[in-house]
Amino acid sequence: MARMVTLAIDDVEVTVPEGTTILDAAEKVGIKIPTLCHDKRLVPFGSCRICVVQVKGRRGRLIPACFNPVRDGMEILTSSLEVIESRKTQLQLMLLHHPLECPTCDQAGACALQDMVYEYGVAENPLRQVGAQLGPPKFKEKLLIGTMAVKERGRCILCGRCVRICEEIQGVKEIDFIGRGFMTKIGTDFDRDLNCEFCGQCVSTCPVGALTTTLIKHKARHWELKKIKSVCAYCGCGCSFLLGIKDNQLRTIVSDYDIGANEGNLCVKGRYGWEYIYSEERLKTPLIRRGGKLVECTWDIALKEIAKTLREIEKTHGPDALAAIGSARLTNEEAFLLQKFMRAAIGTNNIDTSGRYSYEGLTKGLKESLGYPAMTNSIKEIRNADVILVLRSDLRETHPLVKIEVIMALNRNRAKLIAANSYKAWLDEKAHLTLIYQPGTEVALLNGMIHVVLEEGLEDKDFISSQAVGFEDLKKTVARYTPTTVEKITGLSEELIISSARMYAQGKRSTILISSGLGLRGDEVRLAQVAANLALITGNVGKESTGINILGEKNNSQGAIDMGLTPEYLPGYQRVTDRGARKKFELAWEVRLSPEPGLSALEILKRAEEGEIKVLYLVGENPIVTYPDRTQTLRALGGLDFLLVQEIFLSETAQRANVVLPAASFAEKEGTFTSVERRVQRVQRAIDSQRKVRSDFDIILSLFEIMGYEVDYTSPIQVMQEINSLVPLYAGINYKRLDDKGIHWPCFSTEDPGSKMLYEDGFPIGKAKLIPVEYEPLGDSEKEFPMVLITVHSLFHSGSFSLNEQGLRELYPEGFAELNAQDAQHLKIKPGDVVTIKSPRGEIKVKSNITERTPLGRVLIPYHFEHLMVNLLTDKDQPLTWVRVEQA
Amino acid sequence: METLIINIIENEFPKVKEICESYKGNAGALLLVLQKIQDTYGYIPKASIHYIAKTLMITPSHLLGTMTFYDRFTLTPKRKYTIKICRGTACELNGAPALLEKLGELFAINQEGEIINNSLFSLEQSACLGECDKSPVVIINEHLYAKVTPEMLEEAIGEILSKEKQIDTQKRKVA
Repeated sequence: MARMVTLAIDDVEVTVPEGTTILDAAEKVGIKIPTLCHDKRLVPFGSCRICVVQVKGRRGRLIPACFNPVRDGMEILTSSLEVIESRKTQLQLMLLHHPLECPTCDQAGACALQDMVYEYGVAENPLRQVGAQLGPPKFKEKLLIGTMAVKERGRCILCGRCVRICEEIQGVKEIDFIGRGFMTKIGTDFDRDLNCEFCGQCVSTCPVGALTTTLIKHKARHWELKKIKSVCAYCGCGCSFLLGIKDNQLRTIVSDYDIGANEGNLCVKGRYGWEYIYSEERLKTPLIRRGGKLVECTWDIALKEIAKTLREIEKTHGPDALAAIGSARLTNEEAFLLQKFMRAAIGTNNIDTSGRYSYEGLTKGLKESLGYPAMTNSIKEIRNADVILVLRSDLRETHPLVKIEVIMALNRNRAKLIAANSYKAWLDEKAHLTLIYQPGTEVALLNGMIHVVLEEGLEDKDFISSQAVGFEDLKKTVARYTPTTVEKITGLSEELIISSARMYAQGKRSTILISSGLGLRGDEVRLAQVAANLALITGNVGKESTGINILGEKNNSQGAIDMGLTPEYLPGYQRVTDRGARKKFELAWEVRLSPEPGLSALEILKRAEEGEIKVLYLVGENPIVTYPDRTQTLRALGGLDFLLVQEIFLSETAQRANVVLPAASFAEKEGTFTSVERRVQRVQRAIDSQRKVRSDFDIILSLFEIMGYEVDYTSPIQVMQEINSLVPLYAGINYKRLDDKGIHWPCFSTEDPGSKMLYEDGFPIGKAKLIPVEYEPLGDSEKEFPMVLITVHSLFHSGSFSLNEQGLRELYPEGFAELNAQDAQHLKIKPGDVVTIKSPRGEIKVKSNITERTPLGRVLIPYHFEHLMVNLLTDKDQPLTWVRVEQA
Repeated sequence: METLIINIIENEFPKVKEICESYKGNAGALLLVLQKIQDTYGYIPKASIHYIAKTLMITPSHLLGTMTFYDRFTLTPKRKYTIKICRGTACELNGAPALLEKLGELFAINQEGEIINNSLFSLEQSACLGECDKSPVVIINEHLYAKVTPEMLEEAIGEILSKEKQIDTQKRKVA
């Protein structure tokens, strides 16, 4: 309990914890002290000197409020004459070279300097004449940052917020103060082009118009923008932002510290990757196949065709001849409706999401071990962990917001980072222990760590005996995973394994992060469970800043599975084989439900090839490009009688459909997304769709209608009400309660505030289960295929959205096969050479590159680019792909 | 690291590699490393900046930021006479720009503020020297000139030039 301090600000008494700054103390009693260089996310800097306040009775004693802590009995004046004079002079000095070009500056209306100059009336500036003599050419410089932002040096007031946010929050430190005194400028070495994440954090924190985004240049004034809260539709971090709308058009994304969970932080995709909404390539009308080609048609015609086909095939071959796969990008309401359509209107459990591969396994594993199928803690707790084990994750590429948390933990909490991956990820440079292991051997590594923990007596005996079962069996299993054995399997040295185990076990708050989205499939269930074992035996579950934090790739990876886009679970993880669960849904939906678990996505494709599945309904899925084994997928789609694709772009899969339905983007619809930390947040409609485009919600309702199943939803709100009654985890979640910050599930009633952290008061399954997990080798290299293919994810891309986004495309236009320098030399390959990569399933040609992050014996390829056809190499049954690389 | 950078360092600036070796990954040793390189070569070679940054595991922007903050570190070798014009607030307001203009008349000065047509002098613009009561201040090789006018500056430089000419003539006589 911190000591409390009492002081007086402008004669108002305020009591705050020791260590609070004067600025924050003033805010508490509603006194706003102006600032320019202050950003709530950053360590106070004191460079602008605007926030100076006077200590009463001491003339000439002005101190900055932003970093001075309060002291007992302090008497502060925030707007005495001296303070006002000081601020005026500060502003005049800043205006020495800051051109007063407000009428053409995009920051106008949202400019802290403009507001202050107006308030303090510093139009008269005797210092300006001196300033006119200074100001060499550099002050008039304009530098482009990627294609999305521009830096105008003349306007810079050297507050340093851009430099600080790049260092403290992003951990990149690409820009710095160059030079000294009056000649100081912000930039890179010799004004080299920026080579950073282009996240735009610097742009968003700049209080003046020195850094602005070109996307809005001269298009809209800040006061003209209608600002509508929504959630990003890219990754699972669930960042909130404001959509800036003018004339029913999205003009820019505005970040806001006070909404959502991301404190105004966004990445390049969230902040700038929205232009695909206006891409020429977007589907504008339904398409139907006539005479071998796709032609435009009306909704009427499209729906008639679908009705005819679905009814016919259901009648002739039964409901199980139809299947659907829904995207992890759909809102919760749409996902719920999709599975309800297949189960209640069609009568089959053949419904799945591609999120099953890699993410669903992790959730399943944790559900068995701990009780809930999701991340155990919340994102903002990571910054307070003191040991972070990042396992098989490239957070900088897949989950930027989580990477920010790790950076903050490292910078502010002096946390220790253990980075374990099959290649050198970006964060590894900052790690205290870097473990580059043989792909697919994570289970062995963690078992080895558990072995060391037990061997050295570092386990939490109290926790184990009171909260977990299965310890004896676990002990027997891990006994065999000695450091020597694990070294042979993983390729990591014994010392490294032992050090990692010790570091993790000795942390007061140790947390494990496992992401998906690397295009990897493996033994996900076992990976989650072995991680849970490690966390449980060290007592790192149910406490703040600990846990096993599994991170789904997409904006609604968690929600899609919660809502039952799975063949074996009804919404809310209630099994279709469970009589009681089925009965509940049968009563609610007034229809008999199939008791047979359906087919998973890859099984659906296999049976489609064999002709057993005749109709496939794909909602936002693009199997030809993203599923393993492209050749088989093509055969599977070829074997269908009818392929119905609901999409936003004419993807490669859509090009082979019988009917294509144009869907709306996230900015054009209402609904909710559930982020990786189980946070349910509202997505709000900000713009109208093009005339013939409909939301997935509306489209699925039409399908209900043509199949003769009556529903009476007028909006997603009612779907959420139905979800409340059928899914206990979401029981207390309604749109009224989902204000600025959303609600974490489980939320069992409307009085329940939601649960940021799980397992604080025990486990829903009684005691946690320590499930012994054995390492199983995922195939072996043969002479013919000696290298491992690792598909990697890029920060700049995610699915078809980013590929149709000009800015993102320019930043990362093509993919390369990355090789280690030694391997390249051995294979006589130079950077830029085209290489042939062969696997047992197929071969591709791709340009190569030599990168430092690629270890020996591995080749890294990004999986985003359709023309690369990486999935020609991959196999639906083999999690690990072995390849051969040679000169083309 | 790019082989090109490594080649340049190994062939042209081998001492840079030597100095950096013992501080690999040690970002806190930046000032020490820069001092050693400055003392060895008389300047910090532009070509070595990325190498040093990579070895110490800092960003090149940060390295340049640190380097340009201190006058001790230069990008070009220091010459026999260093003309240091103070650009601190008091000197600035009391005539430093006029002095720079005068230098612009006397010498050819490039975009980076370097004198390119006379190898005797190098030009530095420094932050406040703490002699504000004598503003504007010019220091030429440890000698401080107070309340300098453009004419005084021209005179001082002229004196140095004639002194150097004398030394040169004497050298030739002996030779």
